[in-house]
Amino acid sequence: MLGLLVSLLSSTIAPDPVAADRAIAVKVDQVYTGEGEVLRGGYLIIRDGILVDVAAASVPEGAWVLEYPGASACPGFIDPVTGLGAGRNLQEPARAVLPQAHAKHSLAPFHRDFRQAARQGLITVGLSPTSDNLIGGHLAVVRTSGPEEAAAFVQDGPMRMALVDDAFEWNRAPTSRMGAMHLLRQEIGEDFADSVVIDARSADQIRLSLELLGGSGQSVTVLHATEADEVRDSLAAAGASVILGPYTLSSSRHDLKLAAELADSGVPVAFTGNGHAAHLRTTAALAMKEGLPAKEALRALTSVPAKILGVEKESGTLAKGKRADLLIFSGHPLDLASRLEAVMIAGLPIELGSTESPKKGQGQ
Amino acid sequence: MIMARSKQFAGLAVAALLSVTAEAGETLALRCRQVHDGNGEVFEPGVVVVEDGKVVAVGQSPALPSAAKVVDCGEAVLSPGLIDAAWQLGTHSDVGFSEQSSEVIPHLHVADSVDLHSEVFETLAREGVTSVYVTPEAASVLGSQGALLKTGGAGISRLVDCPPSIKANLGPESSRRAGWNRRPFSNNVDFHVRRPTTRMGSTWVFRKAFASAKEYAELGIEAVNGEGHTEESIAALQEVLSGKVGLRFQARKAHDIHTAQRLCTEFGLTHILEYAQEAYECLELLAETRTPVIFGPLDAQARGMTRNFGDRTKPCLRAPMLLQEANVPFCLTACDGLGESGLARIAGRAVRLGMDREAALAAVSKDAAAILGVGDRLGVIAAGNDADLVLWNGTPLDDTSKPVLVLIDGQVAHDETGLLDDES
Repeated sequence: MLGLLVSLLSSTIAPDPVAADRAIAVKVDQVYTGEGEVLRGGYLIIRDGILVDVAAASVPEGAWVLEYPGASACPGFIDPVTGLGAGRNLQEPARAVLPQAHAKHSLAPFHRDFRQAARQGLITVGLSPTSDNLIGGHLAVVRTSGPEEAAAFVQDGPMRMALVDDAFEWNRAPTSRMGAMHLLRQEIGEDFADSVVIDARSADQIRLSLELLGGSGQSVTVLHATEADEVRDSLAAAGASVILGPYTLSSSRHDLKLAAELADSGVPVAFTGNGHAAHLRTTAALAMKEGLPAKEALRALTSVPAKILGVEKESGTLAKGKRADLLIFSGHPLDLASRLEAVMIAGLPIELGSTESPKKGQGQ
Repeated sequence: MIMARSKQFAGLAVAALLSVTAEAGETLALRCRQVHDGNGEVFEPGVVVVEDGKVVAVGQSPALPSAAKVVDCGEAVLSPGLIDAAWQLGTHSDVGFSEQSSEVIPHLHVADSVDLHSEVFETLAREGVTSVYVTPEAASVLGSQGALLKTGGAGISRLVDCPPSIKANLGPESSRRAGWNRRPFSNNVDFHVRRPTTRMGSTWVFRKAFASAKEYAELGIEAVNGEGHTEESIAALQEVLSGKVGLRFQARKAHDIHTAQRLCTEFGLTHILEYAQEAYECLELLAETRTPVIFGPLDAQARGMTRNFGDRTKPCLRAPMLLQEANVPFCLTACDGLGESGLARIAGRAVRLGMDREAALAAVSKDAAAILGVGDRLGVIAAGNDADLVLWNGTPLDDTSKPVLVLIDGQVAHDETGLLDDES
């Protein structure tokens, strides 16, 4: 019933470039801002793709009004570390230390991965070099749906690093961690990147990451952080954040509890779904099952990854002045029983595509 | 078993009720049947007083500070914490230990490769080993600097100061078949190819590196990156030449022991021998040069990383006694052995084979600390030393005894007795 209503509405407000400056008013039952707040009963007002009000009492004159009874809105999801559309082009074994590399050069804007991601509600992603280098190069911050339905490079992301076994090759210097640490201490100086995402899983790798970084004021994000529970106090003291996931139904209880434990210690947690919005939602739901509060779980898909990627000024929350990237769910965004009803990118609903399988004889 | 133990410590239940803990700032007096101080002395009965992580008094009945909480350990026996002076952590770790990209890496530090959260430290503590010198893997001709660690505590606090030393190896691990070294073949060329593949090749690398270091120092010019070495490695070797950094040789076979001596004479260096399984064939040389020997493991079977690469050595179970008789400074190492191959068992076997018990205990405590250059803090239960103590449920080092309480820097690292439980 709701789906029908929405699809009717969508068809009546097909994007109209002539009326780009026309205000849009969105009415849902709950607005989850991505900062922990829940707003009820007001309109979200969008002008020129920007949110100008998130709890307006009335609709501006001449505005398109989109009503989604019973639904809720949340910010577009952000996955900080993905390889969307890049295949193996983010894996460069040439050297262990490669700060000159930049993932934007492996961006394939017309790849269908991006269109698919946008339709599932994944609006912003970090395109990241893999863990095959100690220093792998810059992440690229990418919008999955820009002009002409192509992905668009937004800005430079953090520097990608790794201390895990994958970062070592038997025939590439260095082959030992002591060799790696020596090299990294030389490389990481005053003018090294401001922000770093580092793959470190064991407690010891996390300890070394914090020892290496943060001294010159870098913001540090630990990727995977499997044993972060053993060093959570030092993570909190260093002001570091972590990226966990993706979780599946077979993830261990220890892993699932980690998000709650870290959030409880004041360590900001973001989730990755390897570029799949569905995995992001499952990951958040499984972490909630082991005690992560719902508002922290939503933050982990929105405002925390926005901060990690350095786009928190325009994305990651629903607030005045932010880009109107929003998702409309039939219920709570992280309830797996909720349906994604609409995706609005910069204020415009995008075509979600048919959920029906193609009929026989009708090639698509 | 449990019955026997609870009977053994029956007298202690009372003490436990006094809510004794090993908290910082508290003074503990451990009273037991015997105290073996590691320096050849046995106090019977014995009392050790511990305060702020240090031993403050030891003896048959030393004067007790008024604040001291007396813990009656019944029939148990105290010894110093055991020390392994050449522990191969690499075989217990999935962290990369051997740097294959160069055969000369004296500027690197093993501490960077140590997983400080490794569970092996808890295992060692449980077996009475309270300090280990983590020795570099033998894959380099001139390897990295080792690190001394306590097996108690957590994270970075495990690392303790000790005079630095680098490790050299001319044996097969650094040349012929270690890691991935190989002769050039086909068109398969990478950095492994240029490494030495023979003993004379390794010796050449050793001499070339030290000759460059010496020449740069004598000419008073700064080192530059050159063939097989970097400015940093040359600077580190100059520290060795000037005596600020020590040199260890891993030399299992007699002819390696002789080569080590020849090279050290050439460059005016002193050195320590690691493992040295055929040291009994060079007793005169070692006694004359007073070269310290870290001997082990006792059965002369190469273990761990070297198991598959080591030349066969001729085992001699009496080697520790022969070293002792020849007045060669030595200590015992388990190499990478745990459990029945662990340090306590190795020292115990030396006793069974005829070594004096106190000498065997010293060989895994006091003598190891002396060879490491930390004899003023570790290895002996004496006032002012770190409170690294092991309480045995019988005679220390016996096959029938095991550590039941281990204190490291005065903190409980392992406790089966419940003696120090807080029951308030």
